[in-house]
Amino acid sequence: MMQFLESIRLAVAALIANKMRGALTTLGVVIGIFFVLLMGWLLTGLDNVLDETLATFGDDILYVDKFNWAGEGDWFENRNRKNITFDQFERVRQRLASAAEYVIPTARANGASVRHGDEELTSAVIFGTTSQYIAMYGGNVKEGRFFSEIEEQSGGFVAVIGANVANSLFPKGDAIGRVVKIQGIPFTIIGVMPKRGSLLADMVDDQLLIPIRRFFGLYGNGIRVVINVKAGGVEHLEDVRYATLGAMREVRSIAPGQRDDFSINTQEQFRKQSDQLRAIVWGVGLVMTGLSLLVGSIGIMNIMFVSVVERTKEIGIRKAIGATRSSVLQQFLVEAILLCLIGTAIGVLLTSGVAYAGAYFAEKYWEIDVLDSTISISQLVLAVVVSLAVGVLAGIIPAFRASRLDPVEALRAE
Amino acid sequence: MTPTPTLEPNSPLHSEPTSTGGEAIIEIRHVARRYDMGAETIHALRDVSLTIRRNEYVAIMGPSGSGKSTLMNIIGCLDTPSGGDYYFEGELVSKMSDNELAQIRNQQIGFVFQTFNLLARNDAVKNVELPLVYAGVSRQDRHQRAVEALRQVGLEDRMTHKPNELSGGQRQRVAIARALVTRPSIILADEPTGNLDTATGVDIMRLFEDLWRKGNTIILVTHEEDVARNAARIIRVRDGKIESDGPNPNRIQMNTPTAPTTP
Repeated sequence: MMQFLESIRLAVAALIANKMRGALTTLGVVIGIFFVLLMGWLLTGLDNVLDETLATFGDDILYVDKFNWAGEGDWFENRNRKNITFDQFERVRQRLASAAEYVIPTARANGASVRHGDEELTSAVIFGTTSQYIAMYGGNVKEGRFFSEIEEQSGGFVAVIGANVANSLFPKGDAIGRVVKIQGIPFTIIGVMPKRGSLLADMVDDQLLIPIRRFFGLYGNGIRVVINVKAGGVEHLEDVRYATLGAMREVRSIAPGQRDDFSINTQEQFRKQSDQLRAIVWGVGLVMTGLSLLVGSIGIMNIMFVSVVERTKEIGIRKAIGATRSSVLQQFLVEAILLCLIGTAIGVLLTSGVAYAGAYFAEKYWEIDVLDSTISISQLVLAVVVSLAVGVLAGIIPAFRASRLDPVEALRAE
Repeated sequence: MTPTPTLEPNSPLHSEPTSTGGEAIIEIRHVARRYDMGAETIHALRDVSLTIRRNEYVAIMGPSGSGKSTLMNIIGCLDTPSGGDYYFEGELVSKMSDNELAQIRNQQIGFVFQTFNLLARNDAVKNVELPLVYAGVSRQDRHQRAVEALRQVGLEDRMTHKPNELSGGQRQRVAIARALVTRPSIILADEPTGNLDTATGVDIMRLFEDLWRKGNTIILVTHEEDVARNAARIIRVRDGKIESDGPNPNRIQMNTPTAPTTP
């Protein structure tokens, strides 16, 4: 232990003696650790998105669609399935009336033209649904009100708009009661949705929600319907899923033994998708991290070899007065590890800066509030462990060579 | 076998140690050291035998290439013989492992080199403490003993100076303090005055004389007659063999003030 402390003291002294060289040497490790931590930070952000999404939608909702949301199965086969129609939705709702808490349809059309005076939006999403939508997601409008069942039944020309739509068309905040033209047809704005943030999958901020009958009036019946089924508790999810499956097969006239021509999607699928994204981030991150740590460790190994050669005389002196092989080995190993830890510390500071600034600007300019402004402890531990490993790998060969030096030869060195 | 040296101190001083009575510290029996240089084998030492007893003051002399450095490296446990036996304090050193040799060097041998071999980054105290670090002595004891050793060599007022802030003589005193600090069985000095001017060299030789009188065993390795004349016994090496071994008939008696005369 005493010798270990002494080794640390020696390593610090040696590094102070060669500050510039040490700083350049650690660059690879700095970059490597930077990537590890950045990756971890982004993944934490991703997890936050996921958690927030689940919290927003609830984890007891099934989405019946012709597509599989996790991208399972053959996409072309999925695409060629017949759309779920509004009529099919109505029949499924009747069959699930007692089993599920809510059954509502949604349908969407992207890239709609929305005008208010001279202002025009071209990237808006028109979203058709029923009056129960707002209650099903446990939310509320920010201003005004959601459309009523009567408006829904009668296919009223009313719209509830997302926060971005409201900001773009009515920056003064006086959206309620105004009239916008969707595909040239006037709609009265009766409500504004609260801001969700742009990382959520449903893009509510860019939507104009209108009664679904009006939606089909606008776009025709060719657009596919997604049936949202809320089980009313995770504990009922499997039962409701089973009931939904039966209802759908019946409504779609699928004979026993035939395969489903629809998918019942759950929040689990968000998780699967995020797992794919996570795997990509990991893959890219690991390659970059691995490469920079490899470069870093080669740099450190190189500098340790130089250090051993430069200090051959010192090694000779130390051996002459009683240093064992293991104490010489330890001395140089500790030095290499210390170099790595210094690189790690710089990398941590760097990533902390990026995380802090990133979280700040993401929230300020893009309203993304899911990024942490600090690095988590577990990631710090990971970084330190990785850097210890790199230090040992980079230092062991030079340190071993130093430890095996013949004292007589070493003392002769200048 | 090795002739047992009978050293008649040629000084009238009663305080001068008599070296005949001490027990043997170093016993070298038919030691050889060969170096294989490709096809050629160099015999640096051939069949060397000698005994050095406690509190002797021995000079090992010889021209360059004589094998005296090889002999010194073997005595100092920096090198091991290719043949023969070497006993240090009764233990067979020639068969020891690397770690055991390191331990002997650490605890039983104090090296003093021609070029001082101090660590440039460390101040005097830290340099002297170094062997104690490897001996596992606690920080506090280490410091205390280093300070004591520096006091012994008259450097108590230079303890926090780094080697480049010290004169050659002072550096060699630090090195001697480092050699003394573990209270070794022998002090092994390799041309200790080789890098010093004459006056400073004399100071250092006085210090060795003083240390000898205080009971230390001193082995000087030198090619200078002037330096060797201080020793009580001279072993002459030539062509890897001992040419002569006996008491020094021309021993110079030095006055032994402990304080250095050079700053």
